[in-house]
Amino acid sequence: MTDQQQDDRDGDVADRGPALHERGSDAAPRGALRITVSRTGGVAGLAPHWSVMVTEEKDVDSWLSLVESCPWDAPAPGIGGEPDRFVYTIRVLQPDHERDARVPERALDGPWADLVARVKDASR
Amino acid sequence: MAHSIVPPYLLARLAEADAASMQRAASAARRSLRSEPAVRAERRREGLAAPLPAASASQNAALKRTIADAANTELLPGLVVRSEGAPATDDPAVNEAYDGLGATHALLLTAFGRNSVDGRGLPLDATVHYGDDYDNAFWDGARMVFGDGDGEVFNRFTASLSVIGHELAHGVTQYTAALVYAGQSGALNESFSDVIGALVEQHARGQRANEASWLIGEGLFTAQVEGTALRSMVEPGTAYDDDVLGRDPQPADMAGYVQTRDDNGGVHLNSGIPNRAFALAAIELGGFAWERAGRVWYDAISGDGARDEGDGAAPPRARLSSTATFLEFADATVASARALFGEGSAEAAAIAAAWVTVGVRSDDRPAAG
Repeated sequence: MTDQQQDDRDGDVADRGPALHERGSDAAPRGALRITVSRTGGVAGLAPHWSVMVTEEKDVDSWLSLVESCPWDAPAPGIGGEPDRFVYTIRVLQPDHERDARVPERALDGPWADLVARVKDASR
Repeated sequence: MAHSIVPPYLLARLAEADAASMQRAASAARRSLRSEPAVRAERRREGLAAPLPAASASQNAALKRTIADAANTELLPGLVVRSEGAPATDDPAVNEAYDGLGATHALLLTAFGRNSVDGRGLPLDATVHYGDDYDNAFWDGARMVFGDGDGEVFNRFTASLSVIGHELAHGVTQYTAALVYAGQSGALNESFSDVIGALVEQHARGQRANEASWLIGEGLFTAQVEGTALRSMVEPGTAYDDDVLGRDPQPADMAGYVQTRDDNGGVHLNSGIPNRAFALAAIELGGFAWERAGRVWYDAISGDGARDEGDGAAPPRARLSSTATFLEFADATVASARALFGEGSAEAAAIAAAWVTVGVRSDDRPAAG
């Protein structure tokens, strides 16, 4: 099985509630913002996935303000995680800019926690 | 779907088992004060399993459990709500955690002669009601932590005895082989936790290998989920198939090994491969799985046998590396089986064959010893 298949499976897990995300395309249209959060690990080994697409300018500004407050430049976690803890992968896609971060559950606090909670709420 | 994990008749039985295990540990300790190596060598020549590693007479094999309640916050440890010897509370999560820690302690002590997670009587601490609708349970390096589940996909995580055993086994691995939690060594770390989780459940229920479900986390899913458990050790990939969750993604052999960056390199996926090797060997050997296949797996992880061998009856074995691959671990289990049960033993043969079935060892490969 490849990474891509794994990712596709993750995508399947996401389809609960009114989906704001569009499957099959990660790109955000001009002026828009797309944020995805996927969670792996946990004793169950499930990989749920949440996503939000924002197009209204005032909404984009509000989301971006939260995005910019996150510590994107913090050092990445080393090899070997903690047993059964979650790891979050957070991606922010804009038409000309893309960034991602892998955040272990123990480091998910402050703005990271706010961002993940807001994406989860928005994708319900 | 939630049910009481340890019914009263089993609690009574566990109490008896505890008393018996303490006698056994004491008698094993006396043996070790005499001429343990000679006894081991003689038993090995006779094709019998070596006696259990002995807890030293000075070690206190008594349980010391403390359950705390995080009151749906993420603050650890939370407030203590039940200590060792205290009566049951009216909170099923507290009682399930308390009983599950006891059942895990009983397996480690009676089947493997191990006194608690660290082998030195470490008090067993757990926190229940962690987080808000928290869909997980974990070992944080010092205590077990259980969420209540979201009620939509998951029930409370204390409801599965195999999950409680799984988490405590992460502690055992931490104190023994210290398998790095990434890639193949991480999947072995996960798999050993599933092995112990399954054995704790089978031991508490008095089940033989062919009677066991070999499921991990049975009863954790709510009735809304199409699935019976988190994982199946004997048939990886068949535990659930649900519209929302998708299908159980575990591979059953090396042909399905998953390469991914997620989940520390797919540790909860690829654990299906060594899980199946264990279940197949245990079923082939029959009887209680903790007595034969279980002892071999424990010996390979703990390095107890490798450390104790100084009797000249067998070449010294190397301790398992913390970055062991599936193949290195497979070789270690075959070496342990030979040391514990004899060169040409049914145990060594069944375990070697199981690793071939899951594609980790090849048929024509002379087994490393």
